[in-house]
Amino acid sequence: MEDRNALDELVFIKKVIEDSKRTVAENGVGYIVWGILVFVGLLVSYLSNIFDYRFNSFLVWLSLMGFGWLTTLWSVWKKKGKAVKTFGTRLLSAVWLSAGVAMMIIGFVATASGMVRGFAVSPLIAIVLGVAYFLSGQIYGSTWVKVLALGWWIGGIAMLFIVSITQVLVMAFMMLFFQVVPGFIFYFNSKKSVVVE
Amino acid sequence: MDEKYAVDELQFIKKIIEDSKRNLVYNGREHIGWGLLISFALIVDYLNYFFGWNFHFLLYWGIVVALGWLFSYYSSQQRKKENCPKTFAGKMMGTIWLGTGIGMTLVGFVGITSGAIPGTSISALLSVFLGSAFLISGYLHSEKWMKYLSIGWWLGAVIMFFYPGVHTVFIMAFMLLFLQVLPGVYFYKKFKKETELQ
Amino acid sequence: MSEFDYQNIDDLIHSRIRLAIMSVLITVDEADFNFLKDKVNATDGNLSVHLKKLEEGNYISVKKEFIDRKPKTLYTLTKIGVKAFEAYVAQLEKLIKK
Repeated sequence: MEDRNALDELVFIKKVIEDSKRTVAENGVGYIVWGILVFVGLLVSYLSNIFDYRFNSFLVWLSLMGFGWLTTLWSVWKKKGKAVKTFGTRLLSAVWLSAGVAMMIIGFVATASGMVRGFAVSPLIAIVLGVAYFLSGQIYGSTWVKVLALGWWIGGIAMLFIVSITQVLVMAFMMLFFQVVPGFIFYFNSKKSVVVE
Repeated sequence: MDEKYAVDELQFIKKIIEDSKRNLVYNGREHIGWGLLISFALIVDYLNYFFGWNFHFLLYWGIVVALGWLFSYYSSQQRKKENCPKTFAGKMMGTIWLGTGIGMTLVGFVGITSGAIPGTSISALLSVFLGSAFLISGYLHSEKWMKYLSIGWWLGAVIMFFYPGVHTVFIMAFMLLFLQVLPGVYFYKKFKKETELQ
Repeated sequence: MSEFDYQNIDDLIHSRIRLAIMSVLITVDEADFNFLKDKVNATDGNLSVHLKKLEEGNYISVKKEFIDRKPKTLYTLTKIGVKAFEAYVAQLEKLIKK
């Protein structure tokens, strides 16, 4: 009986120790994949508008986002049981899951309802990404990631006032410089076996 | 050194940890404060529409949001004065609500002023942000049910997107009461109980 | 799991007050002197001596700052300290499972 209690206490204490470690190993692949998918979607939207191609953009975005979620789920399934889940990684997953759900609601549900027009989507997504990067920066303990949040918010504000197809190009380049490039920075840092804390 | 020694040591460590954690209970004040302030602004919104007053939304929303930020700042200063040690969870909570607050302020003020976002969609959009904030903060709280409040916020957002109109004010006020203020009251009572125990 | 060896017990942590200090600091990011005194239930002098020992062993780091114009000394567990605490708990686990 005493042993059972001691083992329970051990489990409790070990959890507290684990939670105190905020190490997060980030390989940047998720940032790169999503960044490229959204960049492609935006570029296609821009070019189709310029060259007057007609296609169902809703389906294109659904396919790209669907592919993104599938790769994310596959990546999570692949890591199951292999990677050590620290408090930091669980929190980071929560941040990006919640941001992902928010962006899906804004991008699909809000636009389908007609309550949010096409030109409001990019700035709203940028603002959501700003929040996600701000939180991620706190988890990583990284100032440059928090600065990315500022970039997303400033870009989001600017895009609220750009009500033309140029907005799509602005968002595409923001996606490249504020998501894909940071993703590569994480990737190369992880290759050097640096654990971001 | 024997097994009994190890058992005693583990009991000792656990006791110290649990005693330390008592000081880390979230007091719920900001949940309550912001929830009540925003509910008030929503009521003014409704009355503004119903009675045909022509108050510009920036007037009362501006005051309410400014009061909210001041209240948050005051709360953070109070926490510094209280014998409350810093924890990662505490810092993250602050960051979550600061980041979400900035996002919502941008959407609510800049978004409407720019004309890009219609006023009728604001409640729904803010609910989306709140859903995200509750999901993440649910991971930080010892109360895991907090995570599931996010589902309520997101469902509410979807309903408000598809059924827009002045009644969304009531939906939002209702959600604020049950999904923000009441959880805040629960945490406040828990905080009071823990501080009395010390 | 390897056998328990009493020589692996960390002497720096193997003291009630220092163990209590480490247990408090594993729970929080940083704590001030008064918080530690309250949780560990030691006198000012006694607590200072033990904190000094842990600081010399690099298990804790110390930061002094002013909050509301009052000086405050803040203590944090270092990475070495976390590892040492973890190793100490592992030794206790070996004892129980022996």
